[in-house]
Amino acid sequence: MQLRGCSRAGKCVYTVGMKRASSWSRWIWGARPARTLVRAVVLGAVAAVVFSGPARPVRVVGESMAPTLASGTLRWANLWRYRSRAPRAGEVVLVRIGRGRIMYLKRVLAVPGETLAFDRGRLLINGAERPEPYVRHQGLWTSRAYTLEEGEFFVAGDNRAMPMEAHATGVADRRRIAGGVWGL
Amino acid sequence: MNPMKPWTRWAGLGLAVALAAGLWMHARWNRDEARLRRALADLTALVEKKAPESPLAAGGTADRIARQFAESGADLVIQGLPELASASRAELRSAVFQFRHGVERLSVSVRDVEVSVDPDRTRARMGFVVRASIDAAGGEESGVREVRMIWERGEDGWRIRRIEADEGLRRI
Repeated sequence: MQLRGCSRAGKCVYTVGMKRASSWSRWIWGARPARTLVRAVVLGAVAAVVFSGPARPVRVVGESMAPTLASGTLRWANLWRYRSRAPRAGEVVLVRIGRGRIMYLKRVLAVPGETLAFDRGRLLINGAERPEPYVRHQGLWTSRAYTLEEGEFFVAGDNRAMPMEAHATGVADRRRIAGGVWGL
Repeated sequence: MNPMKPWTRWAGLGLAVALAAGLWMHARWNRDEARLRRALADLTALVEKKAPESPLAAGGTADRIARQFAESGADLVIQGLPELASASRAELRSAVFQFRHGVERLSVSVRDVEVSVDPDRTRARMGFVVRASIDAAGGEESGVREVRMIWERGEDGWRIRRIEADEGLRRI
């Protein structure tokens, strides 16, 4: 019989025939291991859902989105953003390649139905210039006009100092757009 | 009275489990999918250039890379390289040699490999994402490509019949 404690009223509690768990085991599993296990499972499931969907950590590699996103920085992506709506022009999106462990981070410049062209660095949408406050060095990108069909989005990085040929840019299918980036 | 001691039963069970696991691993190792994954890993290691190499070594590497392709040649549909739309082994050897000669360092990493072998086990499709970083005289460049390969089983094993590589974005 082992004394567990006494109240001020003098009522004492004893443990009979039970071996007390060691302090390490108690520290890890708590007073009720079954409940701790359930909590751990629930927490793990919630973390798995959150980190694979609305809060996926992504590391930026490369300079194509400079100065908006610097190489080496860590951002949080929301892979659920475009489940209920289509991407809008100006939003930064993740474009899936392969099975999606590597994704492009690009800005949507034009959406379905719009005609896009570059003229010596100026972005023309339906023939009119669209201002791009996120671009620091406008560059000299020039392209033919292209009208986007249903399910097509034109994406490009913000770093226009790079030649267009050296930059991964072009038309992305809707099914490739995996999500957006928090704060952008 | 049972003459068998308790530990012998457990030892027998353990041996049976180990044998089953060994057979399973052996079967997995020899599956076509596993062979193709290893072939891709070998090819990746061959393509990488970590240090300057002599012309003789570069030629040897180019030859080993070219031997991974089908003897009758291969179709290469690579964004930015229209001149290699279809190439024989000799042309591939020469192209690989010239390319490697022009770069100081070449690092390649492969991700998201998917392999599917046709039911007749003579043809396989492979898809993966490759990230390459090239250090050349003009500076360092890196890029990502989505690659699709077709492999064919020949007399000397699996060989590449077709490679398609693009950025995953359609240029306008």
